Amino acid sequence: MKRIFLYFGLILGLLIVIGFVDEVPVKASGLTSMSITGTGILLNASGVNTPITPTINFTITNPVIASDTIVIILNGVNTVASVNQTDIIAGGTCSGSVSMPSVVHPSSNVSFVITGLNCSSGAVTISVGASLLTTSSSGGNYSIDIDTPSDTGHFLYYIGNTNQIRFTGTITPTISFSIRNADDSAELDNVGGLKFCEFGVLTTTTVSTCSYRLKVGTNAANGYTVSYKSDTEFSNGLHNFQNAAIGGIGTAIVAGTEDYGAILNPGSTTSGAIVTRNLANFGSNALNAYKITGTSGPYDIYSSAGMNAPSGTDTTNTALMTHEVAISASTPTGNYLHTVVYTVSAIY
Amino acid sequence: MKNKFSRLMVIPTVLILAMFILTNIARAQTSASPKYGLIISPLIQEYKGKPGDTIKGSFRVTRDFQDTTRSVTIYPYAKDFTSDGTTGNPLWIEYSNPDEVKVDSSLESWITINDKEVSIQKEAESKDITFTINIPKNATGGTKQAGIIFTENKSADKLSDTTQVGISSDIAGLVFVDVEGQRSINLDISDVNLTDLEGNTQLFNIFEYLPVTVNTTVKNNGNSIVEPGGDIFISPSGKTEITPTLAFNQKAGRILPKSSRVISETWDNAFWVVSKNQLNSETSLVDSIFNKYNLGFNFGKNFKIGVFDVVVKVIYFNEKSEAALATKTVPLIIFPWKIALGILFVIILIVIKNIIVKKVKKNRETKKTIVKEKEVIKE
Repeated sequence: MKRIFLYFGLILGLLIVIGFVDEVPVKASGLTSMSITGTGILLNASGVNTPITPTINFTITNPVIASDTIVIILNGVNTVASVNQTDIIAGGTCSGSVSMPSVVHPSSNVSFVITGLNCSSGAVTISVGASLLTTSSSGGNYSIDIDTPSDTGHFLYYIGNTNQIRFTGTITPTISFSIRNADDSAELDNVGGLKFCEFGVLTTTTVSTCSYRLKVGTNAANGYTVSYKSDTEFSNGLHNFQNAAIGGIGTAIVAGTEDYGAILNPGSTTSGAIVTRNLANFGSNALNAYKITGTSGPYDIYSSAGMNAPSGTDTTNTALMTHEVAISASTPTGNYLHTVVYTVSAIY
Repeated sequence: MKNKFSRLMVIPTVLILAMFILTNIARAQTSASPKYGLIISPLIQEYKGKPGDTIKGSFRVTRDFQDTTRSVTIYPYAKDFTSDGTTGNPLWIEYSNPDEVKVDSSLESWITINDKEVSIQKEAESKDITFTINIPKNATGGTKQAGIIFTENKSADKLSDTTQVGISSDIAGLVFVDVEGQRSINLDISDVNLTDLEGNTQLFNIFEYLPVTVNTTVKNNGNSIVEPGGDIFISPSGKTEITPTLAFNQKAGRILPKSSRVISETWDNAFWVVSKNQLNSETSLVDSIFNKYNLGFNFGKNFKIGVFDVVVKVIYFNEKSEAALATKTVPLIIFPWKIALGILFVIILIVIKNIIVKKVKKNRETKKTIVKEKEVIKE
């Protein structure tokens, strides 16, 4: 029975001891809004071996009194000169003078042990004077530890570029070309690799026209050039049309007089780069025209000094080519045609 | 009951209509996105090799047509080009027959396109069109060039049932091959001329305002392609400028062997600079004549008025990879003479006015004196 009491007493005593131990206060990691700011500090990556004048910011929930100790450990930070208590300035909800039991001598991974502050709940700042600290020479993610009697907290401070990811991408130079209708709303019909611009049935009472757009896009800084070549004159195989430089300062094409020619309006570019028309063939006037002669070309008809990225329907940054034809009463009958080849390339 | 049924039918009808409208809006937006036709990449391929070498290369061709259903077949072929003597635009060469003597820089006969016919049937699909360059064992040193033309037009076929223009839309990638051997690179500046906003030269190089464009004609006397660099120094006459005013050949233009090219750089860094007003079809005739230009002011910059020296220094590397220099200087005068003439005209008017006023006063005084004298005589 005695033994039973003895064991019972031992177990009870043990429980009481455990109970006392359990009641020893444990620090909560209750610090919030922790950061490091100041000269030389960058949010994502401070430079290595860089002088810093840091301010440690954090928010406490439990007040600190003058006899309490606040410990701040700055890993990855070196002191270049001794830090005295006069070099530490407290702010935010704190009052009183900073007291440090010992001077912090030049070292790496700096620790500041501070007393003498009365801080109520809220935002606290601890600043270190200028020309005292530098970042480590080794890049990395370093921990900053803050310890008050009631709360503790840790956050990472980035030095160097170990936390950076470099995203790379390559844009290759491209050039594109399509031939579309005058409204730039659709491509011209393609038959056997050729597009066709139809004049329809020609009469002596009207001037027939046929227009299409040359749509060139490129991201090349040097721009692009468009070359033109005609295989024959406008012909039915036996009779070649009378050619004329029509429009502008050229011949005014009139119904009833046989004439054939083309007018180029080179448009502009989305980059604002200058578009130059071949003066020899189209002149400088916007309405000047080209006199199509048999097997003429190839030669460049216009070029752009820079990039161009026309939109889906774009009558500004595309070139408009208009062929015009009029017949006389003596123009022989037949189906008239010729083939023109446009070659687009980059400017070397 | 009928009313209730009608009300019930309204909801699905509205939903169906909404779906139809939204679908069509989506389609309309899709069709408005840019379609570029045939796209090639890269634009230029440059190779180096020795006589007897075989070089392999490729261009990527992408299909981007609005008509997504049509069949697309590309027929690639090589074609020589040379310089047009002023620009970097390829001047394509048409040989009248296969036996015609080729130009010195001919490359087309060395190129074999591996696939004569390439079909691209899926929209946005890309195909690499490969080619092989066989440098002959007896090839001479220097740069050879050609384009690889991508066309859908197999043989320039024509339809003959209507009156029409047949159009072939071709696109070219440029190929340069620098052959080792007796290479020579030698540049000189054959001309420097200065032009205004409209590209016009001025008598004695007297310009009213900036911008002034420095057009340098560089001649490549060698047999290899050159991409020169350099600087343009513009300083008051007789004063040596250390800091360049403009970089020369900022767009890294190439000069083909035995040809010339004009490289233009524009100087517009001054207090007052003239620019062109954007004219369009709605611009009135009066505006198109009298408001063609706009005089803008850049505060904090110098006026740039006076007599200047324009020194063009072209730097390149010769065949021994040694830096070489070509230099040319031209004078430039910037003086807003129209404003000056206007001021002079006003001053002359004021002087004339003063002279006339003085004369009139003098005449009046003389007359008064005469009248007084007459009165005195009468008395």
